[in-house]
Amino acid sequence: MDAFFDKHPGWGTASRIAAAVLGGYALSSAWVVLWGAMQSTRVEAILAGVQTSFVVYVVAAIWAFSPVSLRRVWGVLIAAIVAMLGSAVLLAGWQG
Amino acid sequence: MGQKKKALTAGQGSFRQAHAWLHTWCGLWFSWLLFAVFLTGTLAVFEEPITHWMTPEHHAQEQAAAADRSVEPAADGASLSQRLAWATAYMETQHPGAGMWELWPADAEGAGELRVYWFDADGQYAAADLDASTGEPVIRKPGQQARKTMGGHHFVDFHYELHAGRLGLWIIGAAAMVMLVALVSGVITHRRIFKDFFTFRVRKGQRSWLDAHNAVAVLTLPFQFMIAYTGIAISGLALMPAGVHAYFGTEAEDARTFFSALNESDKPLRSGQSMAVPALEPFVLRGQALMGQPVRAVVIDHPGDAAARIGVYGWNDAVSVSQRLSSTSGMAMFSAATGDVLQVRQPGNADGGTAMLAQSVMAGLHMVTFGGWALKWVYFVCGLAGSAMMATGAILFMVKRRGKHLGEFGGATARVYRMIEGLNVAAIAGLAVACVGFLWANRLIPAGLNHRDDWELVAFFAVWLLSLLHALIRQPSAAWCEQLGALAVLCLLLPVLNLVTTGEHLLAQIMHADWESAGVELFVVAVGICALGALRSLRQRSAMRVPRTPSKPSNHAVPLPTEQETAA
Repeated sequence: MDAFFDKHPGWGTASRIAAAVLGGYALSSAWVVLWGAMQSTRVEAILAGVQTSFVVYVVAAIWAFSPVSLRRVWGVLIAAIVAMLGSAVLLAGWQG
Repeated sequence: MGQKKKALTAGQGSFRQAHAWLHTWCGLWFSWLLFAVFLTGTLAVFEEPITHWMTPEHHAQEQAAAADRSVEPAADGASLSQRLAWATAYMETQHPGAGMWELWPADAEGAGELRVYWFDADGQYAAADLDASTGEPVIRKPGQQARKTMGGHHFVDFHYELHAGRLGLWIIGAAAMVMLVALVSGVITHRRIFKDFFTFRVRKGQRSWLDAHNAVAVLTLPFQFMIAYTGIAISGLALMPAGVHAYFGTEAEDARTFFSALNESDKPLRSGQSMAVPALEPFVLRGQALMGQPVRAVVIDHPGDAAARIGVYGWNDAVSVSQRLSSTSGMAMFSAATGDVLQVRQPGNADGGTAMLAQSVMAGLHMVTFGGWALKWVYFVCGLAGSAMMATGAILFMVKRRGKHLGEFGGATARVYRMIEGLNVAAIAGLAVACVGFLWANRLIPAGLNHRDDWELVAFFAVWLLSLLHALIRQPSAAWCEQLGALAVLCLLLPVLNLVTTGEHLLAQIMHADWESAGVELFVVAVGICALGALRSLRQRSAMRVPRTPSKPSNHAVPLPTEQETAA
């Protein structure tokens, strides 16, 4: 994958922008969903998750543009999203 | 170095190089929009004075009201109990089907206007004014009406949704995110941030622009982070709806369920048994005692039903408004049927938990609802510094590239540079012209015209669009000069226009202590003088300019045409 992006730097940049914008948005959305599952007062928890989600978004975007291989950027982003959503499902299911 | 730079793209080189790339391109592509958001948001701090200036018909009325009040304080209108009785009678007879009443009986001194609001049968918010001394509905005669204008609210609306509703909100939300990313990457890029701050190299071309960019950014960095973050968080629930969608559903109705759970979790359901609204005065008196504030509004949910609930909301006094970050007032909630106290909120507290309080504090921080005029001026100055940060950044990008082709856009580079130069002129000078043009339109568009407020907006956008066309047609240096000249003329002549069209002038405003109008005009005149100064220094530089020496292309601190531009 990285060899392809070395040859076509334009696609590498596009992929990085997608990781920062879309990946970052998906990650912060997953963060809000996780917050919603964490407390019994769900509306307050969702609001608190929304308020903090923009920090998550900024950090994700900054990291996606750091000198880290694209494979790693996407891998970590997807793993974190899956982990957050998985925990949210478990927590919400466990609370009933 | 140029060769090496050219090769670097996203996520390449050292950590700092990668973020320099991010800062440059994030900054460039969003600087024009962010400058517009910042400049109009800064003007929005003084929304009320601007609205005041734009509705000259109100000036005489306001002066008369102020004179009345100083002669006979609290003499106007009937007693509180009479006002409440009139409002109740009006609502029961005129709007029996309303789902909610909101009665505003009087100002904090028990005088002033009597106004009622309600949700009509379609769930729309409606309002009526009642005469405070007779209780009769007030019908405004056309002659008394002020010219229809958005006033200063134009700047508020534009800076958070571009007059484009939901779509505009998303565009601004994206721009605010980019700004946060650009701020972080900017801090990473400038490692010697404090040394940079104490460095200002005057009249050194590119370096002066860089120093200016660093100085305004570093000096106001905490403000810039705060204003971008609170701005995005205020609209957070709209921009980050995943949580609501996951637990409540994706329909509009589900969002309403969420918001009513958030804001009014204990709102009773209609019982179906009818019960007349009881006399409100006893509730109001008990509410005032419980929260320790004079009554501002009485809100009745389900009026006419046995499950009705009566909320008494208080007026915040000036001292608490200026000292409290959370601007919520006191509130006492009663059951209409039993008279039991359901809830008491002390001034400054939020109804819900910590997150609701945080939301209220962030809104207060962003909209500077506390701290009085002094803090408004601090916000105004910091906002101007933020605007200057965007403007210097955008200009710096081009100054760096004048005479030194970095070839970022391959064969199209010269054309793209030319377009960026034009966008810089239109976004910076052109927007300023459009803002003052909006004030001109307010005085020139006939007062009785249909949809007059829309025509003012049309004028604003038309002037801005013209400035863009002008900037793309003319050479950049000529475009800068001409638009700065237009700005200076429009700003300096605004007091004259006001005198000609309304007969008001600066001296009279100051004598009447009408500081809102005088402040608007004095500031506009100050902008005009600054524009003249900028114009003069531009012309001096062009006059001093020796035939170009390509080896030192960046020695012009001001936009000048280059070979590429003239060739392009």
